[in-house]
Amino acid sequence: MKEILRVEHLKKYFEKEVGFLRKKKKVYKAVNDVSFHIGEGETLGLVGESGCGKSTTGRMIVSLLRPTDGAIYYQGQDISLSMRNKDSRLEIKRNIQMIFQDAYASLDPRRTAEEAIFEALDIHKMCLDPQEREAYVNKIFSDSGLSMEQRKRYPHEFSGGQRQRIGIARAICLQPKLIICDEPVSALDVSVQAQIINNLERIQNLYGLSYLFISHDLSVVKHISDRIVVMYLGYIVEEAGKKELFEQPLHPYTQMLIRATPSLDPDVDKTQKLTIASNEKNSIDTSLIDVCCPFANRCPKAGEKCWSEVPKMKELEDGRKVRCHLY
Amino acid sequence: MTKLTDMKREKDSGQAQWEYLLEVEDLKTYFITKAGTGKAVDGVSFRLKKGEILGLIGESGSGKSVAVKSIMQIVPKPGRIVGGKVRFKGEDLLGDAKAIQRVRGKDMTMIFQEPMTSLNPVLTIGRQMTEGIMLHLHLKQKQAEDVACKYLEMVKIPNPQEILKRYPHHLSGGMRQRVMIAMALETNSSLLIADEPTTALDVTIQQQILALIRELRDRLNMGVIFITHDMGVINEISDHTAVMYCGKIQEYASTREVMKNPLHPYTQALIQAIPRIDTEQEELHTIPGSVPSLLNLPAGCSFSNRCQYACEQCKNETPELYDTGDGHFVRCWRYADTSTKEG
Repeated sequence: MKEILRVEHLKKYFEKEVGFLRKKKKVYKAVNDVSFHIGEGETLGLVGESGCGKSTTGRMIVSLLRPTDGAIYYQGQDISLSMRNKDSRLEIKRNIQMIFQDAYASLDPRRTAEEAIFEALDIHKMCLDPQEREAYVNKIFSDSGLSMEQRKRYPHEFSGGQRQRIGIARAICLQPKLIICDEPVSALDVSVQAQIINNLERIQNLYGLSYLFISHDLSVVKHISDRIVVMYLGYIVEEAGKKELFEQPLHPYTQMLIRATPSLDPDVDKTQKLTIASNEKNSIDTSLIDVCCPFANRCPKAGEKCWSEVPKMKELEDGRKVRCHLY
Repeated sequence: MTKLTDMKREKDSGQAQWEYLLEVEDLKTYFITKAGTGKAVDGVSFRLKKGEILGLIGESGSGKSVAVKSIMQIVPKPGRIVGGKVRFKGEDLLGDAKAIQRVRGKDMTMIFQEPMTSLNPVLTIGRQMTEGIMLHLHLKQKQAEDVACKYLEMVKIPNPQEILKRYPHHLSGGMRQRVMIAMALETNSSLLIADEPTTALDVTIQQQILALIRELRDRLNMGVIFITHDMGVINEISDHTAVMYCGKIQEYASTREVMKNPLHPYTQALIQAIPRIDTEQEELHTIPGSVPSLLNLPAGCSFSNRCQYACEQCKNETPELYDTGDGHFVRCWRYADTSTKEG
């Protein structure tokens, strides 16, 4: 499989001036060490709890944020270099698009659905002939599951699921190669969520797209992805194929996540789930970043080494990657 | 802590003339606006025993929140409770104007989805927790703080004394929700209404809160109404489940029965639409269309415009809630056909 995107040792620190006269600087380490790659036509799931830096990673890839350190390569080219030149910047931005969680916030309330798409086409000088544009927008709308008469409507006239479809239409209208989906279905009801997920999968086959699918919901990520990376406090703690990850999760955090996800099986043993929960210690502790294993305070298997040394990403014999002292 | 629960049991055994903790009968809450009348809750009936957890599931706009707000009589305007009965411990709450004031916030308490919006950001946790105790149990500040500490311990918050002096923004989301639960329990509440208490939380924290609610139920023998839109959560927590759609209960049965043998086409579709963590699926089942507006409901069965089994009768006549035996109720004309087709 040809590689489309590679991310190497990405870091993002946010600085905030605090204290009397804002003289001190406090550093928030949102993304600490993230490396992964996405192949052509592949869906990579990025899963983690709130505050783990998954959205920040996505925003850095679409250049909404500038990384503190590390590099992003699109088809072998360093994005930060391409950004200096206007033409290559447009080219990269056209090829990497994003779908946001809150479709309403990402749409201009004073522009109709078709105008949102026209704007993107104008910037990238695509389909300038009016007739050609008309046909093209119709095609994009029907591919995204919207009807023709909805073209002239404003965002507030749509339901949540339909707004997300406009978000999808706007993303695919530039014929991108990669779409960053940042929690696209989290705000939707289950019945609508299923429609959007199916639509995303259909579009992927139709347009030959790659997805980076960011979500906190393990079951959604499992459904849509080929490979999954699990993030915790700005670190990737485990990377594996979908099947391996769910059959045999290696990192204690992944194990905890999988067991904590509510199951639909009525015969599931609830008493076992209870003991997991009561064994569980404190919540996320950001002071552990760069000191020891960030998960040490919640890990049931934490040993002495976990409290003294930051674990490195290890590649095991069977090609699986995990960041844990146990392996 | 044992003392508290003992006290509670004695109190309860003294007045055991009622069989059900909460009986809701044909409850109707309408939103009367210029654009028309929205029947947010349209004839909801259910019963809740002591120590039972009832799961109320539905998509947004199904009326599940309005239903419990009607029970508490805190329906926002222009909503109005236009009919029905709510009997709490045998006492009719809708008939007597002062009855609700005696029990609301004391015997019947509620927690919400986002704890930060329910907590006052400029008051300490201690000040907010003791307010209810002082009002309802007529205790002094000092004693009230002791009670608050006991309950904070019960919801597994370390150093409760310390927490009482903190402000809500010092706490994490999971901790805040625990404080809310402690606050709901501290007046010896016998009915806890939880309106999507775990929706805003991460899965690991959600698991802790679910376990906590189950444990407290066992310990205090209280009734719980648990609202959620997540079938998985329902499966983990509730004893009975009511599925709501367009202001009506469409199906009611034990949770096991609902998950294993759903009879209503809506429940079936809902379960099939969820990506599952334990099995592999090719494509997700979808329900065509979206939830209709309350001002513009289809005639007959409110699910008829999205239902794959819909027939002429479904489009013209509104079905009743049938008892199919074993306490399994379903509001569908064709439930006999759907159950055979369900493989």
